[in-house]
Amino acid sequence: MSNLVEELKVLIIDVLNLEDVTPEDIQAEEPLFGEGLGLDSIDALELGLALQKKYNISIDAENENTKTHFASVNNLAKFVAESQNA
Amino acid sequence: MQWQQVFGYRDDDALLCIAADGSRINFKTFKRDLACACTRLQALDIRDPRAVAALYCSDSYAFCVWFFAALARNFKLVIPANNKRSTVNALGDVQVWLGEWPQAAAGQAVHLQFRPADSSAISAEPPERFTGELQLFTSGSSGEPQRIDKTLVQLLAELAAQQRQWGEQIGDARVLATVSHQHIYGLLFKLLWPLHSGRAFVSRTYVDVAALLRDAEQFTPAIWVASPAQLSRRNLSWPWASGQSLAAIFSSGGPLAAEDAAAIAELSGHWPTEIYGSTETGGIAWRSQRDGNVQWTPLSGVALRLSDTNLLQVRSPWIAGEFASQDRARIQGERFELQGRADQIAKIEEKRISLTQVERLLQDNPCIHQARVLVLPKGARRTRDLLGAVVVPTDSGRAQLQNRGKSALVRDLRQWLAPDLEGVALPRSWRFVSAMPVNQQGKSPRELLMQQFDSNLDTDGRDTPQAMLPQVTASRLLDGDDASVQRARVSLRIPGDLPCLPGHFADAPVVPGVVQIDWAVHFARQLLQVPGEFSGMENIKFKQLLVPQEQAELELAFDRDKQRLSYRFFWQADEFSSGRVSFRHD
Repeated sequence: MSNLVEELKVLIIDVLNLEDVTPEDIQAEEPLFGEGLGLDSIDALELGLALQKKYNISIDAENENTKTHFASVNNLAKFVAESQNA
Repeated sequence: MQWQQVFGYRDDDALLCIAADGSRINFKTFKRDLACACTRLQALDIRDPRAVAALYCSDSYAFCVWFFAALARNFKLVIPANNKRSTVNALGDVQVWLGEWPQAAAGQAVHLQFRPADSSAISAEPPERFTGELQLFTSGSSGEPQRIDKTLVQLLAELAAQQRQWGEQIGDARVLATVSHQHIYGLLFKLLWPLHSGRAFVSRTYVDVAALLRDAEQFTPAIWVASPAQLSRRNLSWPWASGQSLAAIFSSGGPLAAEDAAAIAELSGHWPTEIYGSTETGGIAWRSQRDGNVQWTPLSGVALRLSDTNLLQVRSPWIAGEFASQDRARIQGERFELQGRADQIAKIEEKRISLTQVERLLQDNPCIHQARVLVLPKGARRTRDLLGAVVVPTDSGRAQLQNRGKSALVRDLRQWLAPDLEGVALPRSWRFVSAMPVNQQGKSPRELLMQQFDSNLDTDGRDTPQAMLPQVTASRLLDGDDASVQRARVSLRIPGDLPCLPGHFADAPVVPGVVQIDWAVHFARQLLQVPGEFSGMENIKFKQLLVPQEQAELELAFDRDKQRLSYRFFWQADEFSSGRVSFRHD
């Protein structure tokens, strides 16, 4: 799981062009959107696309759970791990 | 405007909306909800006949009910793009806050949330006419939204033109949207058009295109009211086959890239119908990029001409007078081609962003002395357009950079901006410089600032740390007499706290020679985009010691043919050092 967390941090930085951010800067528990890392709605679209492509998982953005999955890197890692095992 | 001029439903049973919970709302239910909302507004103790109401709802149906209730109550209805703090502040004197607003917004004013009609409202009658006026905002995500007055008559006049153009193609299709009704395009295409022509809309705003495509098949016939933000971000695994059931895809907010239009056509079977317009003008023209077409066709009733500077001037039945746009264009016969904007307003992901507003907000921060903000276009380094900020920090900003690092300061600055700006208006790339780069005219044009982001030094970690650099009081590019030699001059002062000063001589702090050479290379890379690896130096001379608090000029000349940099540190008649550095490419 901790590998996946690190992998996701790198993915977020690469996909979203966060040039001044290193993986250590991203707290696994902090909010990705709004405060915390401060990502925007376009980032959400980009990130959703990248996750679907890289892990071959489907994300239903209309589902209320999706908000929870995208809340932090930790949640995202749990979601990716569960989706892959499913 | 009379009730029957607004709504196009045949009878009370006609479907008007598919609510967020999936339930179906017919015209009769809408009339009851509207009557109930009108009763609540009538009950308010507001005597001012021109009271201002502000409306923000995430749910389109709730929005719709409040929209007409407020116009029936003769309020001046203000519809901002978002419910951010800066918006609340900018709205000023508002007597009634309708929908979702931060608690603090209301203050002493009234704050009403939507609720469906209860049984007590059954006897209430919907209003007969709508007299209020409305105000929309330009699609700014900055705190500097421009208010645009509109009347319901104007909005419906445009929809009559859209209906003449597309009515036959879309029939009684249900409307599914990935754009917000808080902007004119969504307000017109998602809500008012279906209401006016007696069609139904899906209340929620889709985030996920896959879900929209599935629902489009379920609710067929349907249309998709989209924008380039979604159409440019596709996943092949989405159920595009369901898109075949769509009657049309509309896109507005900015031009769609040719490859996106073609990709959508291939996936969904529909060439998107692009609508060109603005909050000020409403719809102006349309195009489809089928067969490589780039030209726009004006909507019926729209008259266009070009100004002396080739800016598009627009007249139409739904604009008061002639509107002078900031869009450059070329008119060819009945149609025209757009050629970019003429002003300082940037557009990112369909949102207009006032760069000066972002700069002003940044300059209010105690860490920032001066800030310039620019759009960094999508390209090899970036997967999307985004904002870059070039910042001259104050002393305290400089201290923060040294003690906490760039990443921590950038995070603070983004959080400083966040309450006032939408996400896309927050700068993503940051450069901290000791002085704003200026050209010989003393200006900082975009191209010069751009070099801060697209020079080689920002990606490979070769750059000199900020703490090791002198304080720059001015820097400029000089005109060369020889095209292959580029020149620049940097005015600098040696700070007393430079970490490299002690240690060289026991009692006399000086700038070591190797640091001077590094500065020459640093500023050459920054100002002249010198590429390649350092490969050698020659003719290095140290004539006088460079000491703290001293002023100096650094002159740089880079010979592109020889890949050789000449530098000279001097002040008036005194020369501190000079030399040549060569570079190689692997």
